[in-house]
Parts: sequence; structure tokens; C-alpha cells
Amino acid sequence: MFENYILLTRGFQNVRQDNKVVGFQILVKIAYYRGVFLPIIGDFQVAVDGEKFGVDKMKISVGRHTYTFDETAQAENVRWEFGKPLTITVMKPGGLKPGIHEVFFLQNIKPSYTGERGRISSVTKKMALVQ
Amino acid sequence: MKLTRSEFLKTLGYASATIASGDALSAVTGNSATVIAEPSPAGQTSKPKSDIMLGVSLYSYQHAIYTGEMTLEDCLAELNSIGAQGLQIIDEITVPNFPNPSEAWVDHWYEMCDKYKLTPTNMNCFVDIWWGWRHKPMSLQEQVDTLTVRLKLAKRLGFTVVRPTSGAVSEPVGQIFEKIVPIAEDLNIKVTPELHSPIPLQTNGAFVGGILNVIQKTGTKHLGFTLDMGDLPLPFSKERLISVGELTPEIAAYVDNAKAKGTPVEEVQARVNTMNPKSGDRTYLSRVYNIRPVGAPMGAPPVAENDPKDIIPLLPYIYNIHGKFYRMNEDLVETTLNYEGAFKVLIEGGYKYSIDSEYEGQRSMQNQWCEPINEVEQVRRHHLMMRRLLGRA
Repeated sequence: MFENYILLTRGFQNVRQDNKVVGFQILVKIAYYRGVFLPIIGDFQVAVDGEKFGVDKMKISVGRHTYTFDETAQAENVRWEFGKPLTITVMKPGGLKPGIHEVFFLQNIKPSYTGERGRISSVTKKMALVQ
Repeated sequence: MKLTRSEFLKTLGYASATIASGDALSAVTGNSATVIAEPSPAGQTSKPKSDIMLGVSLYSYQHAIYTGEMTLEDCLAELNSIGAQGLQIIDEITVPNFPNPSEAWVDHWYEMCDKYKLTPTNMNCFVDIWWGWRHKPMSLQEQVDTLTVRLKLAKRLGFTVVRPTSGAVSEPVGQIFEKIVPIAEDLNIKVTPELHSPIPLQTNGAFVGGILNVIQKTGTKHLGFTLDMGDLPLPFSKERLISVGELTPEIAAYVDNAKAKGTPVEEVQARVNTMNPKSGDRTYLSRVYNIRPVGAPMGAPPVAENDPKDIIPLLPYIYNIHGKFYRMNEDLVETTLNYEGAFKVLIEGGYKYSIDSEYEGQRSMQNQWCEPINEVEQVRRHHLMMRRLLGRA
């Protein structure tokens, strides 16, 4: 459900730190009919033009707070709200070149009633990165 | 003294009154008939057959809420405009700063319930006992504490019923329900685990029997069931689906023939796409080829041998009904579930709580183009059907 809506075009950009491009970010919405606390997120996967990135390369930002993926497992009080995006920053020195990219995004949400496999949703979308 | 509805609802919420939600509604209508408007369809002359209250779960509008097309107030105004009285929510969709909304938001909530003449019925919550399998699972006490937080939130918002979901629906009933009874009694909230497909409704089933045992053991009036109408599917039948306009006979015949000849699914999908298919045609193809369904659902797989008469022994314990539905056609027929059979039993059995529309057809229309999603229209048709079944339209 919601697959066509989970990867936002807005916000797709390279991320700078100390004047260096350290990676890029995407804004993503939950593919579920409710918001969840962050530990309920089982997995994220991102690929750009076929280059895959696992959670070890990601930082997760909600509001003004940023977490490693492992840290989100203990973020019992932090919410990924229904219909509201969180930001995934993928660490990739140099970032992405300006132009159109094919971006793949997968999320695995694990409510207790679905069993450990949880709900897996993914989408592939062409999006223009300007800078 | 005449209370406003919001004051009255707050009284219900904060005091440990012993009246049940159905009685509470009668009290409101009886004492201050000007405050709440009974739906009064034109041409109604006879006394309604039943005290059943009709409402809506905001789950029904999840797509519009998710995409930002409808705000909470938009949803509540729509409920008012179709004469819905019961208001049901998923806490983790609706409540900001969950589970601790600000006092200002709670005040606003009551003001809106007052303005739109709505009575909170069932708050649906989740106790994620496994914490996504990335965190230490909840102990039994943590499960009870988590559910208690949800019950207190429900109380703050004026709900009288809470539907908790924790482990898998097919798992035996956990100890959490036994532990929650005294807390539910203290708060005067009815805790109602959901009879959801594919749970067997027979009283000797693990789920139903487990809850009934706790009710008997404790003698409580604060544990029972939310019945989901999806647990009463009509059988999957090509002839019936054609008769209700879900399935195009030519496409069904082509798909059956292709399957018999062993034609690859991709080829069949491509061909069907050229045949001006309805969403039901796509679902039929998915069913015949046993692939992940797209398009409108056509009733749950026949795993539960449930019959409307199975509701009868459970009626004393059913405190809310999810009016689950997938598809209302232009003849105002729900094409997948046994509404007619269920309503007959509910009316004859004297069910007196709320039936809240719970549209779920949008889910299968979000991945692939079928036809525009119109949750608002579907809920309106569902209310027309329910009114007809109750002799109110």
C-alpha cells in the first residue's frame, strides 16, 4: 500500500558538511496505515542507478534529531508519523552528480501482529537532482 | 442544567460512570434532544427496527489523510454531513504527539465532537510487543503498562471502547487481557480484541474461546470483542462477481481459458490491459494465477468457515463493529462480504452499539492504476446500504 507515495521528489539533494559533499538525502513516507515508533522500522534499502546502500550507510533524521540506524532501535519515543516524511541521509563521499537518477527505496515495517517478516514495500522512481 | 455535548462527553470520560456507550447515547438523546440530531431521512414513517448507531472509522479516509487532501476537521465535517454519529479512530493516525496530545488539542477534539455531533466510539491501538524485533521484547508487565497508557488516552478523548492489537491474530490469547481487566474496569473502558479475518467465530476457537474464558473467570463487563465485518466473507464465486458487476464476463472467460492453456501470466496481464478492464477483472486474474492481488478485493480467501449465525452467542460481548468493506457498487451492494446475513442477526439479536464504516478498498488501488480512489464516496454508499438494511432509508 502507498508504494506510489513513499518516495518524495522534494528534498532530493546532496548533503554538505564542512564545505564537502558527504552524501545525499531522500524524504520518505511510511507504507502503512498508521505512524510508528522508530524501533518498529525493520530495514531500509536505497539504490541509485543500481548502486546499493544498506542501513550502515544511513543516518535517519526526524525533526531536529538524527540517529544512526542502530540507534533508532532504542528510540522508543520517537515517531515516524503517518503521512509525514522522515529524512534518510545516505553517506556517499562526493554525493550524486546533478541529473536524473533512478532511485530505488525499500522499507520493512514490523508491527508485532505481522510476524517477524513484517511488511515490505518498495518503489523505483526517476528523480532529478539539481545540486 | 443543560450540558453541551462536549461537557457531557467529558463527564463520561472522566467520571467512572457505569453506563455503556449505547445507553450513554440514549441518555444524550433523551435529556437534550436539541443537542444531538438523529438522522432523519426523508420519508421515514415507522419506528427504526433497531437502536444500532451508525458511525465511521477515520481509517476509511486514510489515503486522503496521508496525502494531505483531508484534515481531521475535514473528516469530521464529512461525518456530520452524512449523519454519522459514531467516531472511530486509529490512535496512531489521528493523535498528535502520540500518546500524549496537548491539553489544547484535546480541548479542540471535544469542540469538534460537539460541533459535528459525534460520539467517540472505539479507539484502535497497537501494543507492539516485539518492538520490531530490534529491541528487547516487552515483558508481560510492559505490555500491560503500554496498553494502560492507551486506555488512559482513550479516556481523555471520550472513547468508551478500545480495540488493542498485539501479537498475530492467529496466536492464542495472551495473558495481557486477564491483567488488563481490573484497569479497564477502573477506567470504565471496554477492551475489545478484534474478531478479524481469518479468526474462526465459533466459541470453541482458540481466540474466541480464550477471551470468553477470561470473561467468565473474572465476571467482567469490560472485556469483549470488536467484530470486523471482514470476518464474514461471501464465498469467492465467478458467477456472483459477474452478477454484481465486478467482473467482465469476456475477460473472465479469456483468463480461465488462458490459465487452462498455460499461458504465462505476463502475457495474460498485457492482453487484459487492452480489454478495458475494471479493477475487479485485475483481481480475478490475480486470483486465478495465484499472484499478489491488484485491483479491488473480492472477499477474503475462504479460510474461516464463518456464518452470521456464529455471531449469536457472541452478541452479549460485542461492543463495537468495524463495518469493514472493500467495494460498494452503484447498486449500493457491498460485493465481498455478507452484510445482509450479518445485519439480520444483529437486528434480531438486539445489538445496540455502533457499526462504524471501515473502508479498506483503497489499499489495493495505491500500487497500480485501477480507477480513482474515492474514499468519501465509498463511505457514503456504505452508509446508504446500512440505512437500508436497518429500514432507515
